[in-house]
Amino acid sequence: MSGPPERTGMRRTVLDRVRTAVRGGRTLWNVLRANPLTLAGFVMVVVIVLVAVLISVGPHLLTPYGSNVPTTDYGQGPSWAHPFGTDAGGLDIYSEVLYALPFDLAIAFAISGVALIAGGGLGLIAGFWDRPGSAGGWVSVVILRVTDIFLSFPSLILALAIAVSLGRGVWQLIVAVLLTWWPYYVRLVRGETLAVKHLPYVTAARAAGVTEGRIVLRHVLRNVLEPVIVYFTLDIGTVLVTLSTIGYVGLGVNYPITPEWGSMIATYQTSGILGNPWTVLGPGIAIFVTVLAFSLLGDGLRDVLDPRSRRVLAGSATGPTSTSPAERAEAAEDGTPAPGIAPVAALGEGGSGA
Amino acid sequence: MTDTAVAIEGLSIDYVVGAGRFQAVSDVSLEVPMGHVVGIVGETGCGKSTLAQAIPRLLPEPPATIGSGRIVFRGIDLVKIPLWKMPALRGTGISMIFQEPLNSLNPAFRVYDQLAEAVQIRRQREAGRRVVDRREAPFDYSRRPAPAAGEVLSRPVVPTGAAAQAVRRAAERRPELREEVLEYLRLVRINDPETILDLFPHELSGGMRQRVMIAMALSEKPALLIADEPTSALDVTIQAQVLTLMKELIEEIHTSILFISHDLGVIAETADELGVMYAGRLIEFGPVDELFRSPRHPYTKALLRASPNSYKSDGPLASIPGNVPNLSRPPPGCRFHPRCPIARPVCRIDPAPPLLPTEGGPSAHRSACHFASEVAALP
Amino acid sequence: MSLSPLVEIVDLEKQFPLARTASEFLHGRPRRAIHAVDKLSLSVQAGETVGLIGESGSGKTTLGWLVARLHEPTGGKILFEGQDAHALAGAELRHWRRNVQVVFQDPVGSLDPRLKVWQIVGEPIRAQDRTDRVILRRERRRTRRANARRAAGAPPASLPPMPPRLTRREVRSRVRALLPSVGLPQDCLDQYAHEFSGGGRQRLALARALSVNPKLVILDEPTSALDVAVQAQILNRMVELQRTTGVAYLLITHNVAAVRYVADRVAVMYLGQLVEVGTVRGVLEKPIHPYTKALLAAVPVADARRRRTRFRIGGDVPSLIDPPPGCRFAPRCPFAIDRCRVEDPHLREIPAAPGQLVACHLAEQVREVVPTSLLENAPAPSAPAPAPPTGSGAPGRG
Repeated sequence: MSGPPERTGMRRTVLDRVRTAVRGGRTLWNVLRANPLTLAGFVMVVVIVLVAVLISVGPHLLTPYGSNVPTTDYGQGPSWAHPFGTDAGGLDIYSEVLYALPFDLAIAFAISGVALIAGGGLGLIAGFWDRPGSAGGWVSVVILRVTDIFLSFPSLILALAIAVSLGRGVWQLIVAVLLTWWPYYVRLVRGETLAVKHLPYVTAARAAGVTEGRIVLRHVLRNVLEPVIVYFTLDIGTVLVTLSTIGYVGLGVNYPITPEWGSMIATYQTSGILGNPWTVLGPGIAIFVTVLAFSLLGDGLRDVLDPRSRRVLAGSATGPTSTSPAERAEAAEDGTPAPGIAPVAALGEGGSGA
Repeated sequence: MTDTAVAIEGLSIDYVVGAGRFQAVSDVSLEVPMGHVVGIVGETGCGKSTLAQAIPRLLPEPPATIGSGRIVFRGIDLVKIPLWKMPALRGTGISMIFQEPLNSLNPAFRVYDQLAEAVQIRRQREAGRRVVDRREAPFDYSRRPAPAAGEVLSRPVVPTGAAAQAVRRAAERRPELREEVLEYLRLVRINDPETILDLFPHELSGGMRQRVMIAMALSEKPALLIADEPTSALDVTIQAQVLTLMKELIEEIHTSILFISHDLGVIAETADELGVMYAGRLIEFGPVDELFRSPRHPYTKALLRASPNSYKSDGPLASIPGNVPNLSRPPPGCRFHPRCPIARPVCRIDPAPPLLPTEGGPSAHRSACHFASEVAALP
Repeated sequence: MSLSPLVEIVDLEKQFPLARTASEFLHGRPRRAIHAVDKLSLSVQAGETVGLIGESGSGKTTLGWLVARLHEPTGGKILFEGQDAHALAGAELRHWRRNVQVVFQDPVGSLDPRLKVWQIVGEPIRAQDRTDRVILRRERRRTRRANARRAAGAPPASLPPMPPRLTRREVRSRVRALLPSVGLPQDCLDQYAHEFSGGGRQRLALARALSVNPKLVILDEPTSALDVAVQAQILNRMVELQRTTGVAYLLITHNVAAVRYVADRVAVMYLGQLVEVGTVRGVLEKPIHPYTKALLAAVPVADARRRRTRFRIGGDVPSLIDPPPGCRFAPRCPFAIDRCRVEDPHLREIPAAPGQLVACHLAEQVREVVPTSLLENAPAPSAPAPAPPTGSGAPGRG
């Protein structure tokens, strides 16, 4: 009876995890199959990430040239040896673009990620403990007003201003963009939290005796996360463009010591027009393709994440003859209407409001 | 045909969703006679709202397609005419009110603006400015309200005789727009309508909003008013007021009404004829008193038994076993047969039983059941 | 011999203060408030079903939430099993919550769309287990400290044992055992809420409420979003469950027929106050208060003989903001006299109807009035309607 408590807990077995992953994977595949644009975005992102990894660990697989290592071919146009040509100093543009990829991508993810966590956390607090008159209410007010102050500046200008004051360098670049980026997440998460916190299932959890903290983490956060992840994915592209813009005006990193697309464009903008336009087009196309990939993926991610739309889209997976346990549940009992008519309900069947 | 406001013949409506396709409405035929109230009752997913929205062609046509059938309104098949001609018919020809008035009134405009817009449309059409077919002769107000085939379609319905003369004179006189709006608000029994003219919809109560909706719909004097669950969102006492109002207005304005509801009590109080829909099919149709007194389809009977009014304190409440079929794979033959207490092998065979008058019953009372005569014996 | 009631509500008040507009603030006017519940007293016995009838704006939902301690009252108190539930806080309050559970009106919004069935239904079980452990840990800590301080030679008190953590498998098996009692099969544990219809979802909500064996379940319009046939099933289930578990219900609804079937007693609310309380048979068959009569008369009946009748109670439900003194139903009441507009009526028993409480000054006089007299047959269609509006055409068959 007494003695050390059993440590079984709520751990999932490895088999459970594998099963969940396989099921999730199959649903993902179905959604991707239904949505060609999303599939394209997904594939592009996968390729981009693969290339980024490869370039970091085994650059020789993708290009024979090192980073910032001049060759003897100066100012050449595109050729088999140099797909994007070389610049006046002999650097292979194609390699430089590739070397810049992990850099830009990692920074964009880092900035968006930290902004998401910090801004999102603040937004969650500001949204959930928003009762006017209480201590939480004051904290909310403070958070929101500070956010408003930051939001009142155009983000690009503010980032540039901070970058100027901080000087050149990788960390300075990250800080500059990060400081202008977190407020958007506060707004987004706060709005979603406000929408969710009044829903009956939150109240039901409270009535069941769940602590407030757990309610926030379990119910509110999980339901808020979905639009936030979509926004995050689309945001990668925006951050990338901002990074490139800062690089373009000559701030941020020091190319060619550190490869970065925006800095590349800044460096070659005049010489490129006269000499090898691919010095400018190369990084430009890279930016375009990366932003496009994440945008396409982000759009489709919404459908993947929502369990409701997953069902409707992936409906073909269950097949015409099989019935889900829920449907069989309805059949077994004396008559609750079958759930399969969700599309009709969405398209305006008034019914009795169910 | 000149006696009917609208006649639906063999209408089928399909929905295409993703890879699937299903029939929300299958082969429905019914008529709404002039000056009558026809009710359609059914549970969620039976297709009644789809049917209601299809008549003025308000369904979003890409996912929804009208597969077959005709909707004959004033001699014209609404299914055949191009969609761009429909707005001329809506409002003064066919008008519609919906369940949730907060959603159907524009929240950005005041009550006066919305009503005035409706009245102006009607006036323009009375004066002959918006017509479907310009080749027709101008409307003669002294003729009977039921227009013959080929009639200019967008004309509103106006009573005959002395009243028609009054209307004509009024149209020529062009009374103050505001006065007319106030009259319509008084018509829906809103006292002191001046006070609400400047209010926005969200500042009104639910009952008031629904009255404003009714006033808007009636100010265009439609030949057919389609009411899709107009009182479901209202409190019981307000619902009773609005239903009383609608019944009185039917007599005053001579509009025909197609009343959709899931509440049998509401239908009983308002409708003259009643159609029962199940899984996209019309399975029974007839005069309301007849249907309630002696239903001739097992589903109707089961529905009446499960209604709250028939709750008895002894034993559990009656309900209907099984569940509404999934319309993407409906059962063969009669769609109710899996749940029907008197189903026989023949019920499982296509085609579904046709909607026909039953033996021993009045011809106006039609039922889509092979064994309609046995329904009376069911508990 | 009177049993002490399970829930006793005494002079309960709940006000929601409204933010002041700028002009009110400048003129120094006091804050206005919504008086959602106003000096309300009611009791619920163990194992009985009390129906709370009222329309929107009557405050019935607020009352339900107050009993479940989802709102805090601004006045009065609620006694649960004789003790003031308001005194509890923190873990004790969360522990208390297992006594009172709620089923909400909206079958879609009351279930978390990201959770599976076993997680939704099992949530109260897990939450209560965690709460128990928090309380136990506190106990053990206290005992340990007392042991450390004990006098020499005194035997140490034994620590209350910590039971093993509730495993996922246990929660699932408990949920699985619970599902048949609400009419769901046992293999749907891993489904999501949206895969069920409205009726199925309400069953899940009911299962969730019952998972911790509460003494009282508050049902807030459980059937209003459902089809008629499904309503009947849910009500059947509720009655069955009460028979087997002895749970008490507070059924908040505007569906009078449901109350007639399920409830033992019924209370009628109007604008934050109770206007009539009594047994179902008494109140619904012989209503005394004019509002109860109006409510019963307004319910549409699927009976062809009732057609074409006109409902005589006009007016809209007034607002709950700072209601004027006097009977709140007086503006719409066909029997109101001057006294009704000035003096608040209180719930009282009249000798002619023992056991039934009415809040009406004219209770004795209006007692005999039958609800259907509040309807009248509409005038014959050929009679001229009053003053036809310009431009709409006069009625009559011309």
